[in-house]
Amino acid sequence: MTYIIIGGSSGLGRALAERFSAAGYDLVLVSRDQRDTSRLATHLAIKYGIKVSSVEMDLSCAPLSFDAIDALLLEHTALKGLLIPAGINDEADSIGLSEDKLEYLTRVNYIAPCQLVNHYLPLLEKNSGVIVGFGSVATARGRTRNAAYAAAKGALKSYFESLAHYAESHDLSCQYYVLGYLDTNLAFAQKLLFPLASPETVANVVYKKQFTTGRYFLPRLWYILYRTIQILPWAIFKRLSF
Amino acid sequence: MTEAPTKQTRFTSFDGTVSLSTTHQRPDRLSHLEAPGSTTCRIARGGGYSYSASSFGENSLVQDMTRFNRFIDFNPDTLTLKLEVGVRLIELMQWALPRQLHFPVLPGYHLITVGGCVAADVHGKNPYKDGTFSDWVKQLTVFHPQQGYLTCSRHENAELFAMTCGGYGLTGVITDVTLQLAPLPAPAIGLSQKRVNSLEYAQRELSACDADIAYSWHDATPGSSFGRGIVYIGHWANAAARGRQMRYHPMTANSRASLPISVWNRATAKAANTAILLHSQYGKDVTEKSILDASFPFASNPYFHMLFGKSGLRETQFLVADDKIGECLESLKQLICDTGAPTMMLSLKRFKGTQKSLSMSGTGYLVALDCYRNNLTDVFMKNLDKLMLDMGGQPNLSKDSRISQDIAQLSVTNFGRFKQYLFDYDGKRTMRSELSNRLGLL
Repeated sequence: MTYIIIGGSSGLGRALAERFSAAGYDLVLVSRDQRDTSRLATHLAIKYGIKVSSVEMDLSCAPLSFDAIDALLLEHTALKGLLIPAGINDEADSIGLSEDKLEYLTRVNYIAPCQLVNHYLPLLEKNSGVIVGFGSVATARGRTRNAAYAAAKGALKSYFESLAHYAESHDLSCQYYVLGYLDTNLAFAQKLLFPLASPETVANVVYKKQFTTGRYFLPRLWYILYRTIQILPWAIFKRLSF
Repeated sequence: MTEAPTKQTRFTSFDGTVSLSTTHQRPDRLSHLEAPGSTTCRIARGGGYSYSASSFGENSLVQDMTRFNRFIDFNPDTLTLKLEVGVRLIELMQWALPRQLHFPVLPGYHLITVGGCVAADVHGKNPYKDGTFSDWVKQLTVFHPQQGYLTCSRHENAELFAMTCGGYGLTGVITDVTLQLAPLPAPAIGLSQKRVNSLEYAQRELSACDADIAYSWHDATPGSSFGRGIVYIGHWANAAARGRQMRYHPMTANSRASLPISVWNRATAKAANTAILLHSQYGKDVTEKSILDASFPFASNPYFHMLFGKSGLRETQFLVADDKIGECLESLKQLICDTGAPTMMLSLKRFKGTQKSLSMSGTGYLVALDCYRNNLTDVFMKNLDKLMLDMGGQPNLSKDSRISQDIAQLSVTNFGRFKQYLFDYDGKRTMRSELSNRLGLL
């Protein structure tokens, strides 16, 4: 069986690729930088003896073309899952963001993942498949920083809630992970209040829960923090700077 | 082109004696390597296990290469494996052993990266038989900020290849390495221990043996027990390894220095060495060990290094030619016993190396010496430098964090040639570390 991993060359995407290939699944890795993705594909093939293909795709492009992935899937075992750990934020992301950046962040974090889900849904339904989306604790409550990113991920969360509802009456598993701090390059230079989770730990949880449907917080501590931020009185919340 | 985020990090050499704060990034894709400006001074860092500060330096961007740990190509016909430099030795061996493959030159700690091994041209348990790490390197790719990606081997860009193996990252960031693997001769190693009463006896034992593993360990505390030790001789064995696989303890330069004070002094060092000798007396003549346990003795026993505490240790290694080793060992004994030097343990290995860079080259005996730190340490090390120069010895720059430019010029065989090459190849001297600054390679 084959899994497609979108954003699979580094960070959580790479950890997922390692975890699923260690379990013997074939993979199609999709990312912006073909040099790194093809290296990872070869690495996984050598290490685990599975079939791995790599495709270059920029999620910010419109319209998005699935031709390259579709062509590769013809050479692969049946499609079982679609994992979308892709996403991007911007240091300049704040209220008043330029139109092109606003569109870019919305495309990568919301529109493209939805388009991918829609495109592969029929095939995944046929194979009792799995769809996994990834969001962020930034969606707990809108604030000045990461305004467009949080809005796009919030929209994606809503889309995955709809998908989970749909999955209940169809032969499909669907998970949406709300991620806290991960030990990736996004967090590398930041001074953070809470501990980082390793991408490998998250990938392990995703692997174990793949045949369920639901929304999960990782690390779990973030469920409490997320809810706390949501119920904070406005008088306090408006004074917070984070 | 995206740039990897940067932060200020305090780095410490593994021996705990050099520490400074500089800009640090952890690239995880090739574009991150290329993104910093071509004139930004930088140095690559692997696992951070060099005793000298060769992977960080003042005003030099440290590029942590541990995320570049992918296997890129394997040719089953030639048994060559191309991999990225951040692959750790344990990952290499855990891949190779189930495929009945082996890599012969393994330094004593499992988390050292392949890139670090190339940069320091490290040696294993029997360098006389297996040579040094670079003898098993077929090809390298080096990224230099001004020159781009360069492929080099003994046949292509041969000078760059020779200078990069044992060049401490000063020719550029090594991105991938093609290694020659060997068929696995047997599933285990039979390791025998022979007690000896002197360094000279151990040296004779080592000179007479053609084993797969051959080295000695000695009590180096001043006094009547000086030189007592054990010669370890290992051969491939078709028996299964005895006992459980040892538990490996990850250790970094920071965790090594977690104790606020050093436990080692003359009394504790003597007691520990006596205990090791007594233990060996009651052990079996030959023990079958797994290849990993025999190759990575410090992986399961971090305590020796940790007990040096925050103040750290001084280690020195130098190579002495065959015809000088007898005189050298005698002078060394005299120097240590006469001055009450803070020496703890000593090790001998027969050595063969052929590099042309900053790494040790030539044939002879490797003398390794560990000292705890007190008010005599620096004076002793200076006297030791003089002894090494008198004996025509060559220092191992990755093991001694205080070798000066003057000493290096007088003792490192290819120092002048390396320096000339470096300035011809990279006039702006983009790749810099504390080691290169200390050696005047500015």
